Amino acid sequence: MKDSHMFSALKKGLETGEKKGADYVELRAEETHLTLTSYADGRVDNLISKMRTGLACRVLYHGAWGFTCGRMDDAGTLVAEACSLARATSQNRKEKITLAEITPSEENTHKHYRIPPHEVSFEDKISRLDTLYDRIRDHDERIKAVSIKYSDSHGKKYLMTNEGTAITQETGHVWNYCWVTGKENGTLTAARDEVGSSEEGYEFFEKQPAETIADRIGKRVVLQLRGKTPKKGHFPCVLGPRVVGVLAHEALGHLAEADLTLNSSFNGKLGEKVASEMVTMVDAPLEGTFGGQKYDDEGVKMARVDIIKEGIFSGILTDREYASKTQMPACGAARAESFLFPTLIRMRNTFFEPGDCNDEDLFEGIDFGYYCVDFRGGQAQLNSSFQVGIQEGFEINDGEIGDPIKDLSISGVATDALFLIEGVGKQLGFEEGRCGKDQIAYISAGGPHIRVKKGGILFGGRE
Amino acid sequence: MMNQMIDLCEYTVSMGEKAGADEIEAMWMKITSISVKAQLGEVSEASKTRNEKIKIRVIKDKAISSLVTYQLQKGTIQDAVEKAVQAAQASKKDDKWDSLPSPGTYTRMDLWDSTMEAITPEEMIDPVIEMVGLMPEDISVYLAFNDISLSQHACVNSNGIHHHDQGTGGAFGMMIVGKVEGGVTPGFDEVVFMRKYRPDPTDIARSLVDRVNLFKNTQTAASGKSHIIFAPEALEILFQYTLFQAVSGENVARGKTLLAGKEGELVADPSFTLHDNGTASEAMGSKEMDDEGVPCQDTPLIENGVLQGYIWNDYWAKRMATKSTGNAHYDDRTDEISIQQNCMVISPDDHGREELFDVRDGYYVLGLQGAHGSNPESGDFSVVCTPAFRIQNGELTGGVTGMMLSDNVFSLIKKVDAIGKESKVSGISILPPVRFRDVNVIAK
Repeated sequence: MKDSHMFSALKKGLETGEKKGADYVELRAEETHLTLTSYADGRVDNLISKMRTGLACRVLYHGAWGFTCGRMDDAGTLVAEACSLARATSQNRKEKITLAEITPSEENTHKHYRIPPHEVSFEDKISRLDTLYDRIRDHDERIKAVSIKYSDSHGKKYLMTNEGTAITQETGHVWNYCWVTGKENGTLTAARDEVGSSEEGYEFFEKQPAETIADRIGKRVVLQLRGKTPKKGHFPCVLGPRVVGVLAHEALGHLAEADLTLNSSFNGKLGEKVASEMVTMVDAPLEGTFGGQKYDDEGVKMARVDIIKEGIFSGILTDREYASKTQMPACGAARAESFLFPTLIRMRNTFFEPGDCNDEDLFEGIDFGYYCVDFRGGQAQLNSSFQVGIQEGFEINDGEIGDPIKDLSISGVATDALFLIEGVGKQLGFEEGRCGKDQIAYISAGGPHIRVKKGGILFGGRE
Repeated sequence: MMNQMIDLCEYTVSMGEKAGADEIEAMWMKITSISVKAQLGEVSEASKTRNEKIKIRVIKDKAISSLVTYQLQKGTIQDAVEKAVQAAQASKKDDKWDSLPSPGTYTRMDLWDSTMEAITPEEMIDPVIEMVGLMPEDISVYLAFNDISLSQHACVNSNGIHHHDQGTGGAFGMMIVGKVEGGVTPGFDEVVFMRKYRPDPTDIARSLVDRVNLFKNTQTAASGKSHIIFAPEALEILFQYTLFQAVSGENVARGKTLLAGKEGELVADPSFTLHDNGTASEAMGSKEMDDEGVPCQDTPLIENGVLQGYIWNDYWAKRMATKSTGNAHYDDRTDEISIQQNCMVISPDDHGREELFDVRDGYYVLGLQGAHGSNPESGDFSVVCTPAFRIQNGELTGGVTGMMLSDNVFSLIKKVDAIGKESKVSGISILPPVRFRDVNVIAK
């Protein structure tokens, strides 16, 4: 649909909302073409095209929300229904929900792909997967099964509100995920690899060619097979950038999402020291990473938030509702997976800022500890307990990187662990992935190498 | 409505045959959901969502493609079918492809609750307000909700499958934290999954408040081997990423599970019996047909500790010369078809609560952090127990924080010590609490 036709259709919905007496009406339409290929051991398991089209309506009526979604040509009905839902809710609220003021934007944003993924043929996409599969199998004879998923999308999101916001954003992504199984002497193990971009087109795979992905994941599987069973307990450790990213995401990132902050151990701690002074942690829309765009799904420009600045808890991620509730700035963190969902407060690109240590110095003086290089999942709890699965790690012996270890989890309590960071490296690195807080959101996270004193991280090993 | 959708599926299949597809399947699905949410102690949002789409799967020269569209007009469908056929032509031939599923005999199930169909959002608000209102001041409600969904499916394929089914489902629950000096307890949640609409605010509120209050009696954990009692919710999340993956027929066929080739062998304690039952009327995953039109069934997986079989979709079953167990699962987000459980059921035993907790020293685990990072191939898991309680001399004495478990699921199911008699319906399972012995505990 042409943008002008779309906005004409949405305008009718706005008029319905105003007639019904809604304080705020937000219409979010979507036209997205997605493809997904799942590929297993040389065969195409699923080759899927999807035309996702629909309309989300959110209204604020007498201080309560109503949300509906459905067909694009049904704006009036959907808005009327959202008003009715909000009215029912509002009758039962004492404190009315209000929104932080913003300056409404009118803009049409574009992607600048060199190779638009939607113009690459299925044959070429499958050919890349064939090559990747061959490279992974060739990496080591102990590799026994390879599963790969590739997805991309291309489309537009339209946002129109009764405050005057009228934004069209071109959207898209490319994403590649591998799960590889290795076997030796009756022992099975597996490792994963995930990369993606919401900014670049298919040219992304020039930076991530099959050989690079295959070497990376093949190495992880073989290290798992060779790995020693890790010990259990507290040890000093050095965390690599990919693990530091997950630590940033899980240890404090989630609890800095305002809807969670207010129920968490960090509630009321803004302005207080929550970490070693060498820690500065940020969430921001970074160029070239996964999860950023110019505006969020409420039409607020995505902005940098310094969550921890030199050890002080300084900022939280907000949508307009929680910005008003907490009197913090609206930072553009309201994101929805698709038109089927209302917005939620989500991280974008979360990272520790670099420090001034040389990476090799971080290992010095550790008689025995662990070096955690890559992760498999992580999870946060409201009491600031965090967990990160480690799929690539090594012992540290007398300041040197030693034998590889089998996979395990590390955990800790952020309110304690962040104080025990005693060294921050100079070189930033990132990982790209997905966060599953109720809805799936593309995110990235990273940081430099960091060193954590004994007592900060509990190793869930067995020896 | 269902007739219209069967008609649309038939039309889709006829268009596919005209467009040159060797085989075609049309799966229409409509899910209408109504939800009421409360945050920070007050009802904040009511929503109604409609997710209606058709998934078209096409096979041409043994190559497969699928197309999903939310636009259900006949003109759009015709265009979609033609694109799906073109995509299949561009896809990769699978020499092992046999055919789409053939018709089977369905177990007729009445999974529709007319109360859920008729209920209004206004009526759904009251139980949420009542539940939130029962919380004392030292407890904060992160989220309370009352959700219902009405699901309808129709499937027609060129091999003669022609079926539709429908079901209602609901989830009523709350997640809270207790306020303690300098912070909060871990989040405690309780969700009741319902096929029939029966929200009980008092029961949930009482259970949560009791747990939070008990947790505030801080206890310490000790590293070493210990008895662990997993609550059904904790067991479900652990097994979802380990044991339930290990019984997938695809993983058996591809050599990705240590249970491959062990049918007839003792793989678990003799007290342990596991079925996947897609026809249990109270289960949330039960339905007449799976997501490629094959009848769902009750499939024995482990019987008295002995491995009986695996779960299959049609493709992998045919490749391994067996029959589908009705476990093709369509992922609503990614649109992939894969093998998943319908409803995993561990047979309850006769241990009441007192008997189950009758250990000198151990832990009761309500939730796990990090189960999704387990290694399904090796079966190794390393997780944080939160929330968790200490058991001393048969009594729950208080909460423990930071405790981890590191063990292996294939060893764990051999260390079953006692199985409770009260099962709980969850999202993908019906499980009792289970006590295991000699589990490796790591204390902070």
